[in-house]
Amino acid sequence: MDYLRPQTVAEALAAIAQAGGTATVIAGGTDIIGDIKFRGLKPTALININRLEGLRYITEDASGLRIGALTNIQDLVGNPIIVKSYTALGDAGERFASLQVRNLATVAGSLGRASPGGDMAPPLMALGASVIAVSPSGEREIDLVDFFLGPRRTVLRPGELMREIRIPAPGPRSGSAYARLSYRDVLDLCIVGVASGIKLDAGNRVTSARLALGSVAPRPVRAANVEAFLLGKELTDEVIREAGNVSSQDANPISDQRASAEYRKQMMPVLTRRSLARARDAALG
Amino acid sequence: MTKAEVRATINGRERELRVDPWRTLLEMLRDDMELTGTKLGCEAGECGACTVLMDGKPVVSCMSLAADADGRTIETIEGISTAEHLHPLQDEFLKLSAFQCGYCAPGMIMSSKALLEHNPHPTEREIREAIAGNLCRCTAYVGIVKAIQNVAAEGVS
Ligand SMILES: Cc1cc2nc3c(=O)[nH]c(=O)nc-3n(C[C@H](O)[C@H](O)[C@H](O)COP(=O)(O)OP(=O)(O)OC[C@H]3O[C@@H](n4cnc5c(N)ncnc54)[C@H](O)[C@@H]3O)c2cc1C
Ligand code: FES
Ligand code: FES
Repeated sequence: MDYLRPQTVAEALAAIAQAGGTATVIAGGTDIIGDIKFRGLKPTALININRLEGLRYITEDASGLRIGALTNIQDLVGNPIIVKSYTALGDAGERFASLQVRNLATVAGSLGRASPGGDMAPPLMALGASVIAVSPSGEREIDLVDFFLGPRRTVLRPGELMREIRIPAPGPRSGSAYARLSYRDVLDLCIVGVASGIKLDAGNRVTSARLALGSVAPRPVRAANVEAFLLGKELTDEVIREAGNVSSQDANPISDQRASAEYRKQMMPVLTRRSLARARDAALG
Repeated sequence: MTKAEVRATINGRERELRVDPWRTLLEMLRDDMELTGTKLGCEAGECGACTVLMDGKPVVSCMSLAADADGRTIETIEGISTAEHLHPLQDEFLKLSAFQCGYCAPGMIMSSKALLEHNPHPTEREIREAIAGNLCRCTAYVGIVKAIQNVAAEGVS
Protein backbone atom coordinates (compact mmCIF):
# COMPACT_ATOMS: atom_id res chain seq x y z
CA MET A 1 0.00 0.00 0.00
CA ASP A 2 1.19 3.47 -0.85
CA TYR A 3 0.99 6.11 1.79
CA LEU A 4 1.21 9.82 1.22
CA ARG A 5 0.80 12.79 3.48
CA PRO A 6 0.67 15.87 1.26
CA GLN A 7 1.20 19.35 2.74
CA THR A 8 -0.85 21.43 0.30
CA VAL A 9 -4.12 21.02 -1.58
CA ALA A 10 -2.21 21.04 -4.90
CA GLU A 11 0.05 18.21 -3.70
CA ALA A 12 -2.99 16.28 -2.46
CA LEU A 13 -4.80 16.61 -5.79
CA ALA A 14 -1.68 15.50 -7.66
CA ALA A 15 -1.26 12.50 -5.34
CA ILE A 16 -4.86 11.42 -5.80
CA ALA A 17 -4.63 11.80 -9.58
CA GLN A 18 -1.42 9.76 -9.60
CA ALA A 19 -3.04 6.97 -7.59
CA GLY A 20 -5.56 6.76 -10.40
CA GLY A 21 -8.99 6.90 -8.80
CA THR A 22 -8.43 4.06 -6.31
CA ALA A 23 -6.88 6.12 -3.51
CA THR A 24 -8.54 6.32 -0.12
CA VAL A 25 -8.62 9.85 1.24
CA ILE A 26 -8.46 10.02 5.02
CA ALA A 27 -9.03 13.16 7.11
CA GLY A 28 -9.93 12.72 10.80
CA GLY A 29 -10.20 8.99 10.13
CA THR A 30 -13.12 8.26 12.46
CA ASP A 31 -15.03 6.58 9.62
CA ILE A 32 -12.16 5.26 7.49
CA ILE A 33 -10.28 3.62 10.40
CA GLY A 34 -13.47 1.71 11.25
CA ASP A 35 -13.79 0.69 7.59
CA ILE A 36 -10.23 -0.67 7.63
CA LYS A 37 -10.61 -2.45 10.99
CA PHE A 38 -14.13 -3.84 10.76
CA ARG A 39 -15.51 -3.53 7.25
CA GLY A 40 -12.79 -5.03 5.11
CA LEU A 41 -11.53 -1.87 3.42
CA LYS A 42 -8.06 -2.52 1.96
CA PRO A 43 -6.81 0.72 0.50
CA THR A 44 -4.31 0.42 -2.34
CA ALA A 45 -3.18 3.93 -1.50
CA LEU A 46 -3.89 5.94 1.63
CA ILE A 47 -3.75 9.69 1.19
CA ASN A 48 -3.75 11.45 4.50
CA ILE A 49 -5.09 14.99 4.06
CA ASN A 50 -5.47 15.64 7.79
CA ARG A 51 -2.48 17.99 7.90
CA LEU A 52 -3.06 20.05 4.76
CA GLU A 53 -2.12 23.61 5.58
CA GLY A 54 -4.73 26.30 6.09
CA LEU A 55 -7.90 24.22 5.92
CA ARG A 56 -8.93 24.54 9.54
CA TYR A 57 -10.78 27.80 10.18
CA ILE A 58 -14.15 29.37 10.96
CA THR A 59 -14.40 32.93 9.62
CA GLU A 60 -17.25 35.33 9.04
CA ASP A 61 -17.53 38.34 6.76
CA ALA A 62 -20.41 40.29 5.21
CA SER A 63 -21.20 37.47 2.78
CA GLY A 64 -21.47 34.83 5.50
CA LEU A 65 -19.56 32.04 7.18
CA ARG A 66 -16.67 29.99 5.80
CA ILE A 67 -15.59 26.74 7.40
CA GLY A 68 -12.37 25.04 6.34
CA ALA A 69 -12.81 21.39 5.32
CA LEU A 70 -10.52 20.10 8.08
CA THR A 71 -12.21 22.01 10.89
CA ASN A 72 -12.88 19.60 13.76
CA ILE A 73 -16.43 19.13 15.00
CA GLN A 74 -15.32 20.32 18.44
CA ASP A 75 -14.13 23.63 16.92
CA LEU A 76 -17.82 24.41 16.25
CA VAL A 77 -18.81 23.91 19.88
CA GLY A 78 -18.87 27.18 21.81
CA ASN A 79 -17.50 29.16 18.85
CA PRO A 80 -18.91 32.68 19.47
CA ILE A 81 -19.82 33.33 15.80
CA ILE A 82 -21.70 30.05 15.59
CA VAL A 83 -23.41 30.50 18.95
CA LYS A 84 -24.61 33.94 17.84
CA SER A 85 -25.75 33.44 14.26
CA TYR A 86 -25.59 29.77 13.25
CA THR A 87 -27.22 28.06 16.23
CA ALA A 88 -28.21 24.88 14.37
CA LEU A 89 -24.58 24.07 13.71
CA GLY A 90 -23.64 24.51 17.37
CA ASP A 91 -26.58 22.30 18.40
CA ALA A 92 -25.31 19.55 16.10
CA GLY A 93 -21.71 19.92 17.26
CA GLU A 94 -22.64 19.50 20.92
CA ARG A 95 -24.57 16.29 20.34
CA PHE A 96 -22.10 14.73 17.93
CA ALA A 97 -20.44 11.50 19.17
CA SER A 98 -18.27 12.31 22.22
CA LEU A 99 -15.63 14.93 22.98
CA GLN A 100 -12.84 12.45 22.15
CA VAL A 101 -14.36 11.74 18.71
CA ARG A 102 -15.25 15.42 18.06
CA ASN A 103 -11.59 16.33 18.59
CA LEU A 104 -10.69 14.04 15.65
CA ALA A 105 -13.66 14.10 13.24
CA THR A 106 -13.84 16.82 10.59
CA VAL A 107 -16.80 18.72 9.15
CA ALA A 108 -15.99 17.76 5.54
CA GLY A 109 -15.46 14.14 6.63
CA SER A 110 -19.03 14.04 7.88
CA LEU A 111 -20.33 15.30 4.51
CA GLY A 112 -17.98 12.95 2.65
CA ARG A 113 -19.36 9.98 4.56
CA ALA A 114 -22.89 10.91 3.42
CA SER A 115 -24.45 8.89 6.21
CA PRO A 116 -28.27 9.26 6.15
CA GLY A 117 -28.10 10.02 9.88
CA GLY A 118 -25.00 12.21 9.86
CA ASP A 119 -25.38 15.25 12.09
CA MET A 120 -23.63 17.89 9.98
CA ALA A 121 -25.80 17.71 6.85
CA PRO A 122 -29.24 18.77 8.21
CA PRO A 123 -28.08 21.94 9.99
CA LEU A 124 -25.85 22.93 7.07
CA MET A 125 -28.72 22.37 4.61
CA ALA A 126 -31.09 24.41 6.77
CA LEU A 127 -28.52 27.21 6.74
CA GLY A 128 -28.32 27.09 2.93
CA ALA A 129 -24.72 25.84 2.84
CA SER A 130 -22.67 24.91 -0.20
CA VAL A 131 -19.44 22.98 -0.63
CA ILE A 132 -16.40 24.27 -2.49
CA ALA A 133 -14.85 21.32 -4.28
CA VAL A 134 -11.42 21.47 -5.92
CA SER A 135 -9.93 19.27 -8.60
CA PRO A 136 -6.93 19.62 -10.92
CA SER A 137 -9.28 21.31 -13.41
CA GLY A 138 -10.44 24.00 -10.98
CA GLU A 139 -13.07 24.77 -8.39
CA ARG A 140 -16.83 24.42 -8.27
CA GLU A 141 -19.49 25.33 -5.73
CA ILE A 142 -22.09 22.64 -4.97
CA ASP A 143 -25.31 23.45 -3.13
CA LEU A 144 -25.61 20.91 -0.31
CA VAL A 145 -29.16 20.14 -1.49
CA ASP A 146 -27.60 18.59 -4.62
CA PHE A 147 -24.61 17.02 -2.87
CA PHE A 148 -25.88 13.70 -1.48
CA LEU A 149 -26.86 10.77 -3.70
CA GLY A 150 -27.39 8.10 -1.04
CA PRO A 151 -25.53 6.33 1.77
CA ARG A 152 -21.78 6.97 1.23
CA ARG A 153 -22.46 8.48 -2.19
CA THR A 154 -22.01 12.11 -3.10
CA VAL A 155 -21.66 14.04 -6.35
CA LEU A 156 -17.93 14.50 -5.68
CA ARG A 157 -15.95 13.09 -8.61
CA PRO A 158 -12.97 10.82 -8.11
CA GLY A 159 -10.02 13.09 -7.49
CA GLU A 160 -12.11 15.96 -6.17
CA LEU A 161 -11.60 17.31 -2.63
CA MET A 162 -13.76 19.49 -0.45
CA ARG A 163 -11.88 22.64 0.47
CA GLU A 164 -14.48 24.79 2.21
CA ILE A 165 -18.10 24.93 3.36
CA ARG A 166 -19.89 28.24 2.86
CA ILE A 167 -23.01 29.53 4.56
CA PRO A 168 -24.68 32.74 3.33
CA ALA A 169 -25.16 35.49 5.95
CA PRO A 170 -28.51 34.79 7.63
CA GLY A 171 -29.40 38.47 8.12
CA PRO A 172 -31.51 40.09 10.83
CA ARG A 173 -34.49 38.33 12.44
CA SER A 174 -33.31 34.93 11.34
CA GLY A 175 -32.67 31.91 13.50
CA SER A 176 -31.79 28.26 13.23
CA ALA A 177 -31.82 25.14 15.39
CA TYR A 178 -31.23 21.41 15.21
CA ALA A 179 -33.33 19.00 17.25
CA ARG A 180 -32.11 15.44 17.41
CA LEU A 181 -33.55 12.32 18.98
CA SER A 182 -31.43 9.43 20.24
CA TYR A 183 -31.76 6.93 23.08
CA ARG A 184 -28.66 8.28 24.81
CA ASP A 185 -27.49 11.88 24.67
CA VAL A 186 -23.90 10.88 23.99
CA LEU A 187 -22.34 8.43 21.54
CA ASP A 188 -25.61 7.43 20.00
CA LEU A 189 -26.57 8.00 16.40
CA CYS A 190 -29.63 10.03 15.59
CA ILE A 191 -33.09 8.39 15.19
CA VAL A 192 -34.69 11.51 13.74
CA GLY A 193 -33.01 14.89 13.28
CA VAL A 194 -34.71 18.10 12.16
CA ALA A 195 -32.86 21.33 11.40
CA SER A 196 -34.68 24.60 10.73
CA GLY A 197 -33.46 27.90 9.36
CA ILE A 198 -36.06 30.67 9.29
CA LYS A 199 -36.36 34.41 8.64
CA LEU A 200 -39.15 36.52 10.10
CA ASP A 201 -40.45 39.97 9.19
CA ALA A 202 -41.45 42.64 11.72
CA GLY A 203 -44.83 40.94 12.17
CA ASN A 204 -43.14 37.54 12.83
CA ARG A 205 -44.31 36.27 9.45
CA VAL A 206 -42.03 33.71 7.87
CA THR A 207 -40.23 35.20 4.86
CA SER A 208 -37.93 32.24 4.33
CA ALA A 209 -37.92 28.71 5.70
CA ARG A 210 -35.48 25.89 5.14
CA LEU A 211 -35.95 22.62 6.98
CA ALA A 212 -33.80 19.53 6.59
CA LEU A 213 -34.46 16.04 7.91
CA GLY A 214 -31.89 13.45 8.94
CA SER A 215 -32.24 9.66 9.44
CA VAL A 216 -35.61 9.45 7.68
CA ALA A 217 -34.51 8.91 4.06
CA PRO A 218 -31.50 7.39 2.23
CA ARG A 219 -29.99 10.87 2.25
CA PRO A 220 -30.64 14.09 4.15
CA VAL A 221 -33.66 15.80 2.58
CA ARG A 222 -35.37 19.19 2.68
CA ALA A 223 -38.89 19.23 4.13
CA ALA A 224 -40.57 20.88 1.12
CA ASN A 225 -44.14 20.59 2.44
CA VAL A 226 -43.32 22.18 5.78
CA GLU A 227 -41.40 24.96 4.06
CA ALA A 228 -44.36 25.75 1.74
CA PHE A 229 -46.79 25.59 4.65
CA LEU A 230 -44.78 28.07 6.75
CA LEU A 231 -44.14 30.71 4.11
CA GLY A 232 -46.04 33.95 4.81
CA LYS A 233 -47.57 32.68 8.07
CA GLU A 234 -47.07 34.31 11.44
CA LEU A 235 -44.96 31.85 13.44
CA THR A 236 -47.32 31.25 16.36
CA ASP A 237 -47.35 28.17 18.61
CA GLU A 238 -50.38 26.96 16.67
CA VAL A 239 -48.59 27.30 13.32
CA ILE A 240 -45.58 25.44 14.74
CA ARG A 241 -47.90 22.66 15.92
CA GLU A 242 -49.50 22.33 12.48
CA ALA A 243 -46.11 22.48 10.76
CA GLY A 244 -45.21 19.41 12.78
CA ASN A 245 -48.20 17.54 11.37
CA VAL A 246 -47.27 18.57 7.83
CA SER A 247 -43.74 17.16 8.29
CA SER A 248 -45.04 13.59 8.14
CA GLN A 249 -45.63 14.18 4.38
CA ASP A 250 -41.98 15.00 3.84
CA ALA A 251 -40.35 11.57 4.22
CA ASN A 252 -41.08 7.87 4.40
CA PRO A 253 -38.58 6.52 6.91
CA ILE A 254 -37.62 2.86 7.10
CA SER A 255 -37.17 0.49 10.05
CA ASP A 256 -33.66 -0.44 11.11
CA GLN A 257 -31.87 -1.63 14.25
CA ARG A 258 -32.29 1.77 15.87
CA ALA A 259 -36.00 2.42 15.38
CA SER A 260 -39.09 1.32 13.48
CA ALA A 261 -40.50 3.27 10.57
CA GLU A 262 -43.68 3.92 12.60
CA TYR A 263 -41.74 5.38 15.51
CA ARG A 264 -39.69 7.60 13.25
CA LYS A 265 -42.84 8.80 11.47
CA GLN A 266 -44.43 9.72 14.79
CA MET A 267 -41.34 11.48 16.03
CA MET A 268 -40.90 13.64 12.91
CA PRO A 269 -43.68 16.09 13.97
CA VAL A 270 -42.31 16.23 17.53
CA LEU A 271 -38.78 17.03 16.43
CA THR A 272 -40.03 19.47 13.78
CA ARG A 273 -41.89 21.42 16.48
CA ARG A 274 -38.92 21.44 18.85
CA SER A 275 -36.63 22.59 16.09
CA LEU A 276 -38.95 25.37 14.89
CA ALA A 277 -39.67 26.67 18.39
CA ARG A 278 -35.97 26.91 19.12
CA ALA A 279 -35.25 28.55 15.76
CA ARG A 280 -37.95 31.14 16.53
CA ASP A 281 -36.32 31.85 19.90
CA ALA A 282 -33.00 32.31 18.12
CA ALA A 283 -34.56 34.67 15.56
CA LEU A 284 -36.24 36.82 18.19
CA GLY A 285 -33.54 36.50 20.86
CA MET B 1 5.57 -0.89 1.48
CA THR B 2 5.70 2.74 2.54
CA LYS B 3 6.05 3.48 6.23
CA ALA B 4 4.87 6.62 7.98
CA GLU B 5 7.42 8.64 9.95
CA VAL B 6 6.30 9.82 13.34
CA ARG B 7 8.24 12.38 15.35
CA ALA B 8 6.30 13.20 18.46
CA THR B 9 6.77 14.27 22.04
CA ILE B 10 5.38 11.40 24.07
CA ASN B 11 5.16 11.92 27.81
CA GLY B 12 7.74 14.68 27.57
CA ARG B 13 10.29 12.74 25.48
CA GLU B 14 11.04 13.25 21.80
CA ARG B 15 10.44 9.99 19.99
CA GLU B 16 10.95 8.87 16.40
CA LEU B 17 9.12 5.88 15.01
CA ARG B 18 8.34 4.29 11.66
CA VAL B 19 4.89 2.73 11.56
CA ASP B 20 2.52 1.14 9.07
CA PRO B 21 0.35 3.90 7.60
CA TRP B 22 -2.90 2.41 8.93
CA ARG B 23 -1.50 1.69 12.41
CA THR B 24 -3.57 3.35 15.09
CA LEU B 25 -2.10 5.56 17.79
CA LEU B 26 -3.34 3.02 20.35
CA GLU B 27 -1.42 0.18 18.65
CA MET B 28 1.70 2.32 18.44
CA LEU B 29 1.55 3.22 22.13
CA ARG B 30 0.74 -0.24 23.44
CA ASP B 31 2.53 -2.56 21.02
CA ASP B 32 5.46 -0.52 19.68
CA MET B 33 6.24 1.51 22.80
CA GLU B 34 4.95 -0.83 25.49
CA LEU B 35 2.95 1.96 27.07
CA THR B 36 0.21 -0.46 28.08
CA GLY B 37 -1.37 1.89 30.62
CA THR B 38 -3.67 3.09 27.84
CA LYS B 39 -6.37 0.42 27.52
CA LEU B 40 -8.00 -1.22 24.56
CA GLY B 41 -11.74 -1.66 24.99
CA CYS B 42 -14.18 -1.49 22.09
CA GLU B 43 -11.56 -0.44 19.54
CA ALA B 44 -14.32 1.53 17.81
CA GLY B 45 -14.28 4.95 19.46
CA GLU B 46 -17.20 4.21 21.75
CA CYS B 47 -15.86 3.44 25.23
CA GLY B 48 -13.06 5.93 25.90
CA ALA B 49 -10.73 3.36 27.54
CA CYS B 50 -8.03 4.38 25.06
CA THR B 51 -8.27 8.13 25.73
CA VAL B 52 -4.97 10.02 25.54
CA LEU B 53 -4.25 13.74 25.24
CA MET B 54 -3.09 15.06 21.88
CA ASP B 55 -1.82 18.63 22.18
CA GLY B 56 -3.76 18.72 25.45
CA LYS B 57 -7.07 17.53 24.00
CA PRO B 58 -8.64 14.16 24.77
CA VAL B 59 -8.91 11.84 21.76
CA VAL B 60 -9.74 8.16 21.32
CA SER B 61 -6.38 6.71 20.28
CA CYS B 62 -8.07 3.66 18.69
CA MET B 63 -9.65 5.89 16.03
CA SER B 64 -6.62 8.04 15.32
CA LEU B 65 -3.76 7.19 13.00
CA ALA B 66 -0.34 6.86 14.63
CA ALA B 67 0.89 8.89 11.64
CA ASP B 68 -1.26 11.80 12.79
CA ALA B 69 0.74 12.02 16.02
CA ASP B 70 3.61 13.38 13.93
CA GLY B 71 4.65 16.79 15.23
CA ARG B 72 2.30 16.60 18.19
CA THR B 73 2.51 16.22 21.94
CA ILE B 74 0.96 13.03 23.30
CA GLU B 75 0.29 12.43 26.96
CA THR B 76 -0.69 9.04 28.37
CA ILE B 77 -1.44 7.84 31.88
CA GLU B 78 2.23 6.87 32.29
CA GLY B 79 3.25 10.50 31.80
CA ILE B 80 1.26 12.14 34.55
CA SER B 81 3.02 10.75 37.63
CA THR B 82 6.52 9.93 38.82
CA ALA B 83 7.65 6.95 40.88
CA GLU B 84 7.37 9.09 44.03
CA HIS B 85 4.39 11.30 43.24
CA LEU B 86 1.03 10.36 41.86
CA HIS B 87 -1.06 12.97 40.08
CA PRO B 88 -3.63 14.55 42.44
CA LEU B 89 -6.41 12.85 40.48
CA GLN B 90 -4.76 9.46 41.02
CA ASP B 91 -4.30 10.19 44.74
CA GLU B 92 -7.93 11.15 45.15
CA PHE B 93 -9.28 8.18 43.16
CA LEU B 94 -7.23 5.87 45.40
CA LYS B 95 -8.35 7.61 48.57
CA LEU B 96 -12.03 7.25 47.66
CA SER B 97 -11.60 3.80 46.06
CA ALA B 98 -13.49 5.50 43.26
CA PHE B 99 -12.84 2.74 40.73
CA GLN B 100 -13.92 -0.88 40.95
CA CYS B 101 -12.14 -3.05 38.36
CA GLY B 102 -10.18 -0.01 37.18
CA TYR B 103 -10.26 -0.76 33.47
CA CYS B 104 -11.77 2.61 32.62
CA ALA B 105 -9.37 4.43 34.97
CA PRO B 106 -6.59 5.54 32.58
CA GLY B 107 -9.08 6.99 30.10
CA MET B 108 -11.24 8.51 32.81
CA ILE B 109 -8.21 10.18 34.43
CA MET B 110 -6.94 11.59 31.12
CA SER B 111 -10.39 13.06 30.34
CA SER B 112 -10.59 14.54 33.86
CA LYS B 113 -7.09 15.97 33.58
CA ALA B 114 -7.96 17.71 30.29
CA LEU B 115 -11.12 19.12 31.87
CA LEU B 116 -9.40 20.53 34.96
CA GLU B 117 -6.63 22.06 32.87
CA HIS B 118 -9.00 24.30 30.95
CA ASN B 119 -11.77 24.52 33.54
CA PRO B 120 -10.33 24.26 37.07
CA HIS B 121 -13.72 24.70 38.78
CA PRO B 122 -16.26 22.71 36.76
CA THR B 123 -19.87 22.19 37.79
CA GLU B 124 -21.10 18.65 38.28
CA ARG B 125 -22.81 18.88 34.90
CA GLU B 126 -19.57 19.95 33.22
CA ILE B 127 -17.77 17.02 34.86
CA ARG B 128 -20.41 14.59 33.61
CA GLU B 129 -20.19 16.09 30.09
CA ALA B 130 -16.39 15.81 30.13
CA ILE B 131 -16.44 12.10 30.98
CA ALA B 132 -19.53 11.28 28.88
CA GLY B 133 -17.30 9.58 26.31
CA ASN B 134 -15.75 7.32 28.95
CA LEU B 135 -17.82 4.28 29.81
CA CYS B 136 -17.40 2.53 33.16
CA ARG B 137 -18.77 -0.98 32.97
CA CYS B 138 -18.69 -1.22 36.77
CA THR B 139 -20.88 1.92 36.88
CA ALA B 140 -18.62 3.55 39.45
CA TYR B 141 -19.72 6.97 38.19
CA VAL B 142 -20.83 8.43 41.54
CA GLY B 143 -17.38 7.90 43.08
CA ILE B 144 -15.63 9.04 39.90
CA VAL B 145 -17.53 12.33 39.81
CA LYS B 146 -16.94 12.84 43.54
CA ALA B 147 -13.19 12.30 43.17
CA ILE B 148 -12.99 14.86 40.36
CA GLN B 149 -15.02 17.33 42.43
CA ASN B 150 -12.66 16.88 45.40
CA VAL B 151 -9.58 17.50 43.28
CA ALA B 152 -11.20 20.60 41.75
CA ALA B 153 -12.05 21.90 45.23
CA GLU B 154 -8.46 21.42 46.43
CA GLY B 155 -6.96 22.82 43.22
CA VAL B 156 -4.67 20.78 40.97
CA SER B 157 -1.03 21.32 41.90
C1 LIG C 1 -17.74 6.34 18.10
C2 LIG C 1 -18.22 7.17 16.95
C3 LIG C 1 -19.35 7.96 17.10
C4 LIG C 1 -19.84 8.72 16.04
N1 LIG C 1 -20.92 9.51 16.26
C5 LIG C 1 -21.38 10.30 15.26
C6 LIG C 1 -22.48 11.19 15.48
O1 LIG C 1 -23.02 11.28 16.58
N2 LIG C 1 -22.91 11.92 14.43
C7 LIG C 1 -22.33 11.84 13.20
O2 LIG C 1 -22.76 12.54 12.30
N3 LIG C 1 -21.28 11.03 12.96
C8 LIG C 1 -20.79 10.25 13.96
N4 LIG C 1 -19.73 9.42 13.73
C9 LIG C 1 -19.17 9.31 12.36
C10 LIG C 1 -17.91 10.14 12.05
O3 LIG C 1 -17.29 10.60 13.23
C11 LIG C 1 -18.24 11.33 11.16
O4 LIG C 1 -18.77 10.88 9.96
C12 LIG C 1 -17.01 12.23 10.94
O5 LIG C 1 -17.41 13.55 10.74
C13 LIG C 1 -16.12 11.82 9.82
O6 LIG C 1 -15.07 12.75 9.72
P1 LIG C 1 -13.54 12.27 9.62
O7 LIG C 1 -12.72 13.48 9.34
O8 LIG C 1 -13.19 11.47 10.79
O9 LIG C 1 -13.69 11.36 8.32
P2 LIG C 1 -12.78 10.29 7.59
O10 LIG C 1 -13.01 8.95 8.17
O11 LIG C 1 -11.37 10.76 7.47
O12 LIG C 1 -13.46 10.39 6.14
C14 LIG C 1 -14.84 10.16 5.93
C15 LIG C 1 -15.14 10.18 4.43
O13 LIG C 1 -15.06 11.51 3.91
C16 LIG C 1 -14.07 11.60 2.88
N5 LIG C 1 -13.44 12.90 3.06
C17 LIG C 1 -12.95 13.43 4.22
N6 LIG C 1 -12.50 14.68 4.02
C18 LIG C 1 -12.68 14.95 2.70
C19 LIG C 1 -12.41 16.10 1.89
N7 LIG C 1 -11.88 17.22 2.38
N8 LIG C 1 -12.75 16.03 0.57
C20 LIG C 1 -13.30 14.89 0.04
N9 LIG C 1 -13.59 13.80 0.77
C21 LIG C 1 -13.27 13.82 2.08
C22 LIG C 1 -13.18 10.39 3.10
O14 LIG C 1 -12.55 9.99 1.92
C23 LIG C 1 -14.17 9.37 3.61
O15 LIG C 1 -14.88 8.79 2.56
C24 LIG C 1 -19.20 8.66 14.78
C25 LIG C 1 -18.05 7.88 14.62
C26 LIG C 1 -17.55 7.14 15.69
C27 LIG C 1 -16.31 6.33 15.51
S1 FES D 1 -10.96 1.35 22.78
FE1 FES D 1 -10.95 3.30 21.92
S2 FES D 1 -12.88 4.05 22.46
FE2 FES D 1 -13.02 2.00 23.12
S1 FES E 1 -14.14 0.66 37.37
FE1 FES E 1 -14.54 -1.05 36.11
S2 FES E 1 -14.88 -0.12 34.19
FE2 FES E 1 -14.81 1.55 35.50
